Amino acid sequence: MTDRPSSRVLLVGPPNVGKSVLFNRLTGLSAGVSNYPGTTVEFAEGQMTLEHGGSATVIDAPGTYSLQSKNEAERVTTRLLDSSPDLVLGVLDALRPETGLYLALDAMNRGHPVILVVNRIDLARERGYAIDVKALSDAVGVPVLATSGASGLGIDDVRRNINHAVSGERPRPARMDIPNWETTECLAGVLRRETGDGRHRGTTSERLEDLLIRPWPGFPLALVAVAISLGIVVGVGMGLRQYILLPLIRDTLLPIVASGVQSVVSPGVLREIMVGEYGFLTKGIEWPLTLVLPYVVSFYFVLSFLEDSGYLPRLAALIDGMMARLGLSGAGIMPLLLGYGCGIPAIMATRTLETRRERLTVASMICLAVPCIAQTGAFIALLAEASIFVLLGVFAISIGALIMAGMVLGKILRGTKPGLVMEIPELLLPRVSVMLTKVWARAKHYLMDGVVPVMLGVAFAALVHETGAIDVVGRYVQPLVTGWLGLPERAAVPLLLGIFRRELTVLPLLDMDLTALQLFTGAVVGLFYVPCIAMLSVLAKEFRASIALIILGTTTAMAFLMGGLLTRIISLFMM
Amino acid sequence: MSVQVTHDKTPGANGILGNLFTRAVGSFEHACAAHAGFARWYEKSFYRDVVEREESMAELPQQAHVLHIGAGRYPFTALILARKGHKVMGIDHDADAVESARRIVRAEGLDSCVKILHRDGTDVDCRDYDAVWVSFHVHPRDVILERCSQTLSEGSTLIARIPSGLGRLAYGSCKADIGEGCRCDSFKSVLVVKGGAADTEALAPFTLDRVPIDQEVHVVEGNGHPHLEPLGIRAGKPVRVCARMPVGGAVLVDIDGRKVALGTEIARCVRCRRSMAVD
Repeated sequence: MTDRPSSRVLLVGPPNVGKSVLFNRLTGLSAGVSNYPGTTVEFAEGQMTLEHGGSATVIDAPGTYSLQSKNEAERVTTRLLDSSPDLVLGVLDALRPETGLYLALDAMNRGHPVILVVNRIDLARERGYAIDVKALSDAVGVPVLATSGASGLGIDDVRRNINHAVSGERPRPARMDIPNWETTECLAGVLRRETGDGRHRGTTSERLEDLLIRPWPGFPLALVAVAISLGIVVGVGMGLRQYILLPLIRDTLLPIVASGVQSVVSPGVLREIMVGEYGFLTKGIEWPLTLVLPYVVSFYFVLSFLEDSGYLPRLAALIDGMMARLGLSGAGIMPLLLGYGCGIPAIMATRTLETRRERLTVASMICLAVPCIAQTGAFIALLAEASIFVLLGVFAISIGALIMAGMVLGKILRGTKPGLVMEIPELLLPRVSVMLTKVWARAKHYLMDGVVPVMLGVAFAALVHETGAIDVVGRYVQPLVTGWLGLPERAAVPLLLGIFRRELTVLPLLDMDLTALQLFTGAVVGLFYVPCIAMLSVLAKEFRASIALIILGTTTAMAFLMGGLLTRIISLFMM
Repeated sequence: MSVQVTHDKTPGANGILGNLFTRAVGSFEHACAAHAGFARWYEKSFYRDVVEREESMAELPQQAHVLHIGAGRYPFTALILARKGHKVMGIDHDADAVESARRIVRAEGLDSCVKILHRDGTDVDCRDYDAVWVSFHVHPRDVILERCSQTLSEGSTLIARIPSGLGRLAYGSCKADIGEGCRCDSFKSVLVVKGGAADTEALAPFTLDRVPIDQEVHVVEGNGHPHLEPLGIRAGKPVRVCARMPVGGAVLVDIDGRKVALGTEIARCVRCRRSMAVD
């Protein structure tokens, strides 16, 4: 049986108990992990090598509180369970085992072969609990293993047991009744006993937890946290650009590329397209690597810190009352924040929201007025030099538009109002190695998926420019671009390219010698303008193609409407 | 039963705002007493709903005996309850108000079902009544409420209109420790207390959104949100409210050291009772 490659092992448990950490340990992959419930919204698969050759497929399912699924992420898990995996690893949190235990008992009751994994035992021992896996194993009749995903303790034991189980000796529980909370709590008591000699948690961290979540000083501290985060994203990003990437890319790499090309390609249109003023081997490399990449790094560094520290759920709790005014719950803040990085994981993250109405509202808000980090990097490059106020103005418009969009969608969309039920994890000091891994994964992702499209886009722009095709295009879009928005005809090209990458609506404006007002108009149009093609396809997949089309139409219309209106309003005042 | 009437007319008993409101209510009742048509319209379009809601909370038997403390110049509540077939004893401490109320009862042809007496509420005896209504403007409210809850017999119900929200600004909050009211508008709450053994009022269920901060309560019943039970918000579990965000924000609760944030709508549907000192 060991050579059966299709043995499927499913990790099931409540949110934020460390399933993805275990998954990464078992498969050597790097699924996203953090310290808030609902990190995993889609299942991940990986291969685990078995002792006698062959391998088993390990599946990391989104966390779920029960098998009566409440949101889309939980439905993913129930569907996985229904596909009858060969083995279910029921993951429990040693600090609060009953939630995961109930779930595992429910899975046993449905006839699944289950192995229980008690994770985070190091933390439980630290708090003065004795964990007796043997006693629980005797009580429920299936193997119970103790692990610490963070340190890797007990992982080999899990591997061995998976080996055994998929080689034919599947753990079959004694006939299980439908679990109830009384028996579950009783069994949790068998597993975990208070010894009383545990080190109490540091009072400082407990006091900090209290301070962060009480209205006073929680609200001011939240503002401070957001301000510091913004400062780090912009400051560190600019520093990376100025002191590392510009010297490395623009001053070192690009001259080499240019001279290389010049020695091979004779002067003419082709050379201009490659290394000319807008050449895809000059600007096409310089823009993504020196204007966008530094902010990708600094943003995900800050986001990882917020995710791993456990601050985000606190922010959600603080902001719930305000979000309720928009017909949303505080949980909606997480996808919105993710959206400032990239819209695609953000739209996926709406799966943890309870109602379809809330999902759709948040996803539309992200598409309309949340600039992704690539676009933000372009904004900073475009606007910060002209005036920092123009930059702040664009972000003020973004926030204002988000609130307006929330209010309007709250009126239009039908459905029940969501209510917040969110577990607040303990504050943990993020581990630098985990954070760096995440930042690296994100940067790599950008280098792989972001740079080449931008180079192609720049090449296209250079082609249009150099061949004179711009005059033809310009004639068609002249009324809209020049007449209504007050931008030069050349600005039509970035609008065409924006559908592929959002930063491409903004980056080509850089060298057009625009006035401050034109820069502002261009940025506003770029902000509202269409979500990129990848976001549209995720929208179509998560919702419906028609919804993606509606959002495409609305955002485009909004972009031109707002851009034109603001130009007119501001030029009135500047007269 | 020695009872005197209490209808708050004591100047300076409340803040400036409270006195202003009290005077406005007095003038309003004057106007009602003078214009029967207006009073009937007001009763039909507004007051009847309020009383009917309270009546359903009180779970009154047929033809119940009701005591109404602070019946007022125009005894709306007494009239509405009488029209539903209950026998009402209304008391007020203002002789003028009693005179006026009696006239109105007679004019409505309900004198067989409604009696109005000039009595004070601080030493009422509620033993003989199925239900006792306490008006919003009675004074001193806390003394009267405590007196009522002490003398209420088993199975009877105390219905008290107490200030909450903005009402607290004007009239101060209710300090009588006999239970928590359920909110009826931005100004007042209705407190429903069942009579019986001495400490049953301490067990009166109230909802998680109203539990004072740092007080431990026990969950009586959740609201069916599937995440509440797995997170430990189950019947019988002790819960402590750690923080509450302003203006309808989330409630943060602690269950066995696990912290959970609940939206205010969810918290409103989790019924609790005060934890007894004994357990």
